[in-house]
Amino acid sequence: MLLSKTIDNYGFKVNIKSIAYCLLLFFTVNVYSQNTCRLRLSGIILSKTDSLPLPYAEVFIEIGHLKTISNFKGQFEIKNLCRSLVELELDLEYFKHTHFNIKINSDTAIVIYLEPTLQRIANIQINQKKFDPLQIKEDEIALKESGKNLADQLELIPGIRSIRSGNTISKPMSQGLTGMRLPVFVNGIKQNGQQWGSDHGPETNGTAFDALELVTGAAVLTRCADAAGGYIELRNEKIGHPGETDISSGTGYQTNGNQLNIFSKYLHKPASNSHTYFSNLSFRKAGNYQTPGYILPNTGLVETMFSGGMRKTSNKTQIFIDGTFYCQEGGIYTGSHIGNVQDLLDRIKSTVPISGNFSYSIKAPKQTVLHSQFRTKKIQLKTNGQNYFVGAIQYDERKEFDLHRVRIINFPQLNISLLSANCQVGKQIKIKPNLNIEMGLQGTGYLNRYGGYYFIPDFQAINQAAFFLLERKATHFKHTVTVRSEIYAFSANASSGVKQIHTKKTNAGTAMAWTGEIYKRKSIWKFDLGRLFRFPWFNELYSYGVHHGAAAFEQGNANLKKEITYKAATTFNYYSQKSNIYLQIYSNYIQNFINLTPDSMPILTVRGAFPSYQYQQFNSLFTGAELNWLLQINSHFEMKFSQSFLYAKNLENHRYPAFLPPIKSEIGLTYRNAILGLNLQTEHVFRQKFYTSGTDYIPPPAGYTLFNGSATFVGLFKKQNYQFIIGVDNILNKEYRNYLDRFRYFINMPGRNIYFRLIWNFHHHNEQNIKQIYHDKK
Amino acid sequence: MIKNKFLGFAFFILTLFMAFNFQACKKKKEESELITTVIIHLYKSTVSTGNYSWKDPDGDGGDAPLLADTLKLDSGQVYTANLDFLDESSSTTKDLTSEIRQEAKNHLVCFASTPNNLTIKIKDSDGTFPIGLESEFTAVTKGHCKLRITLRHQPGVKNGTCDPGESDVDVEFPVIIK
Repeated sequence: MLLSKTIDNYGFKVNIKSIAYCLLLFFTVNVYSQNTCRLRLSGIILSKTDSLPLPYAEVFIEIGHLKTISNFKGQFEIKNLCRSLVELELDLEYFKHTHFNIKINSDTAIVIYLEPTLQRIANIQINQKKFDPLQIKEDEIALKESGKNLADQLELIPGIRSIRSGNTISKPMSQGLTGMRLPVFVNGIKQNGQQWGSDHGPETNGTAFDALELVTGAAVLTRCADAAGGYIELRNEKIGHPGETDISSGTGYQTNGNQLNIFSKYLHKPASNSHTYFSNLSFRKAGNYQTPGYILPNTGLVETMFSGGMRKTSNKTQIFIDGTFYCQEGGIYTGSHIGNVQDLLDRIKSTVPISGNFSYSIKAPKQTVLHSQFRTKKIQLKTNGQNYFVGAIQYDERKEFDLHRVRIINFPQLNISLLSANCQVGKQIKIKPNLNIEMGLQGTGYLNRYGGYYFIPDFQAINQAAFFLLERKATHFKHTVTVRSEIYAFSANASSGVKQIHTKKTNAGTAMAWTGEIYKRKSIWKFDLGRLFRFPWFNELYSYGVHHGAAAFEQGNANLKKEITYKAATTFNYYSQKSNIYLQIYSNYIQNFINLTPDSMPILTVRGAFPSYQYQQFNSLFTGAELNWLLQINSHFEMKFSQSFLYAKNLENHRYPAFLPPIKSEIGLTYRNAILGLNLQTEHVFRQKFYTSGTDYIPPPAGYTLFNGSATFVGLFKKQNYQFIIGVDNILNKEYRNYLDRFRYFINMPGRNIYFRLIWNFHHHNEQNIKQIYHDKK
Repeated sequence: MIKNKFLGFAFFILTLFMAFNFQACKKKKEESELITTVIIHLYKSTVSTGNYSWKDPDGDGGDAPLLADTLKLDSGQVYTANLDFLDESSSTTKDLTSEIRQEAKNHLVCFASTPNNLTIKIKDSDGTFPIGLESEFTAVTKGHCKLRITLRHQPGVKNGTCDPGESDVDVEFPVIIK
C-alpha cells in the first residue's frame, strides 16, 4: 500500500513502486544464488597460555566478508555458510594473527587457541572491556546511525537520551546528567569544545569511529573527575593485519529533510611493515525538516568530518598518531528565536507555528562549528607492564548568529575560540598475577578568546591531575579502586562595556571511586561507589548577556563552589544463549549542584524584556533504573525490551529540575535469515510527571507512542559484501512533542521519515605477501 | 579483485571531493550591526517640537537601558513622527534607518498606546503594506499613557499585522498629553 504510492515531497517525485520492483528483482537474484547456504560455524576462542576465554576476538571469513566478534565467554557463531573450504581469520589485540582453512560440510563447532604475543604477556589489561551493551560497534553505527547526530547515535546505549534544540542540535544525557558532567573522549583524549551550553552539541560525529561506548565505574577517574554521568568514548580501534585493505563506504538518503549522507572508511596495513594507516570521512547535508503538518524553515544542516592517522606496532612499542577535523553549519528553526517575553508567550499561544517551504538554504539564526584535533600516543611495553604518553592539541571555534539584527548576515553575536592542549603520562605495573596498579599524571591547558558581544570572558586555565588505580582479581571477584587529585588554576579577563573581569583563582579537589565485580557462570554483578567533583566552568561563573538570542538572559555567579557527586550504582548483566539482560539501578546525590535557575523578574533591553536566569547551587538527588532485555526466541526471531526511569529533586526547595527524561518503554521484534532482516519497533514515552507547576512556560507535553520499522538486505557482489536498509521512522506520522526538546514550546517533532542506506564493504588481502611472510617465519 | 580495490578507492576519493566542495565551513566576512537607540522626531506641521530617545548602549547585553525621554504633546494636536534607529555601541554612530527602509518588505514598526490617549496612523508603505518609519500621532485625550514601539523583523512573512516575525526593537516611551 505504502509502496504503491507516489511521493511528492518538496517537489521531488519518486515512483516508489518502480524502485520496489527493481529492488525485489535485484535481491531475488541474490536469494536464488545463496539459498543453499544454511550451514553454521560456531566455536570458542581460548588463550593458549591459560585456556581462559577471549572476548572481543574478531572472526573473519574472506569470502562474503562475514565477520563476528567473540562474546565475553569467547564464543562466536557465523551462520549461513555454504559447503566449501573457507579461510578463517582471527584477530585480537595482543595475540598473534591467526588464519587457517576449514572445510564446511555440515554445522561445525571448533575450539581455537590464540597464542599471545610478547605484548600480551607484558600488558596487564587494566582497561580491558567486557562484552556489554554499553558499546556500539562499527557495523551498527554504519547501518543504523550513519545519518544522525552523535547524541542520537548514542541512544542505542541503554540509559542514554538526547536533549535537543530542534533537529540539528542534540547532546547526550546519561542518568539525567549532560554537558560537562558527561564528557566525550576521542581516542583517549578529552574533547575540549564548548560543551557547556545547553544548545551546544558535541563537535564530532560517531560515523567516523569504530566503536562508541559509555564508560562508567572506577576507571573513569583515570581520565577525569567531572564525569558524574560517565564518559563517552569514541575509538578508532582497528589495527589490521598484514596485507589487509579494508574499505567501507556507505550512502544514504532520507525523505524528511531530503538528507543525503555519505561516509567512507579506509584501513590499510602493508604486508611488509608494521604500520597501519586509516582514514574516515563522513558528510551529510539536509534541508528543512517536516512535521506532520508543516515544514520547519531554516532547519537545514551541512556537516563534514574527516579523521586519519597511522599506527605503528612492534613488540616493544606502539605509536599512534591521528587527527580529526569536524565542521558543521546548522540552521536553527526561525520561529524559535524570540525577541522578548511577550513574543515568546504569543508564539507559545499560537496554534499555527511559523512554517515555510523546503529549502537547503541556511540563514540566521544559525551556528557554525569547527573542531580540529591532533593526537599522539606512545606505549612502551615492559615485561611487567607498560609506560605510556598521550598528547593532543585541539582547536575549537563556535559562531552563533542571531536573527534579531537589522540586515544581520555575517556577524556572529557569539564567537568563541578555544585552543587547548592535553597530555598524560602513565605507568601500568603488574605487581602480582592478581594485582595490577596504574598511576599517572595529567595536564590540560586552555586558552579561550571571545568575539562578538560579551557572553563569557577570555580565559587561561591549567588543570593538573594525578591518579592511582589498584585492581585486584580473584577467581570470581574483582575490585578496582581509583583515587584522583586535581589542582586547577585560571585567570579570566574581560574589558567590554558590559563586564569588567580581571581575576585569578586556584582550586583543588580529590575524587575516589570503587568498583566491585562478581563473576558468575552466566552473569556479572557490578557495584559502583564514588565521590566525583567538578569545578564550575566559565559560563557558570561569569556569563552575562543574551545567549544566542534564545530569549534567555544568562548571568553567572562568581561565588559558585565545587560541585560534588556521591554515586552509588549496581549493575546486573546476565548472558545466556537465549537471553541477555542488563539492569542498572543508580542514585547520585549531588552537593552544590550547579543549575541555571529562572529569576522572578525579567531583564529589560532595547529588544524588550527577556526572561532572566542565574546560575545557582543546591543539593539534589538523581535516582533511576535502566533495563535492557534481549530475548532470542529461536534462530530467526529476537525480541528486545527496554525501560528507562529517572526521578530527581532539588532537596532544598523540593522542586523537580527541568528537562528530566520522562519514563520510556521500548519493544522491538526482529526477524533474521541469511539475507534478510526485518525489524519492527515501538516506543512509548510517558508524560513527565516529575514537574513542578509554574517552573516552565508550558507543562510537559502528553505522552506518545511511535512505530518504526526497517528491512535489511545482505548480499554479495563480486565476493564483496553489501548491506541495504530501507526503514521508516514514525510510520503513523504521529504528531507529538518531546519534553527533552527546547523547541517543544513552538513546534512538533519531525513526522514520517523514510530512509535508504547502502553500505558496501571491501576487504582485500595481499595473499601472496602473507604467504611469503608465513613461509619466511617457518 | 584489483578492479574492486580500485572501485573502493575511487569511491573514497569521490566522497572526499564531494565533501570538501560543499564548503560547509568556508570563512565569511564579518560585519557588526546592532540597534541601541530609537529616536522619535516630532513635528507639528513642519516645525520640530522635539527629539525623544530610548537608549541601551550595549544592546541586549548587560547594563540597564537609559531612561526614555517623555513625549509631551498638546491635546487635540496632530504630529508627524519620523523614527530613527541607530547603532551607538561603538565610537562611530551608524544610522540603520535607511537599511530598514531598503528592507521595507521585511520590516514593520508597530505602535501601541496604553491607555488609548494617542492614536497613530502609519503614513509610509513598502508598496503593499505599511512600514511605520513615518507616521502621524494624534493626541486625543489629556492624561498619561505609554507608547510602545516595536520594530518587527518579518522576513518572508510580512502581512501588514504585527503578529508574524520577531522583535528587533521593543521599547516604551512615557507620554504626557496636556
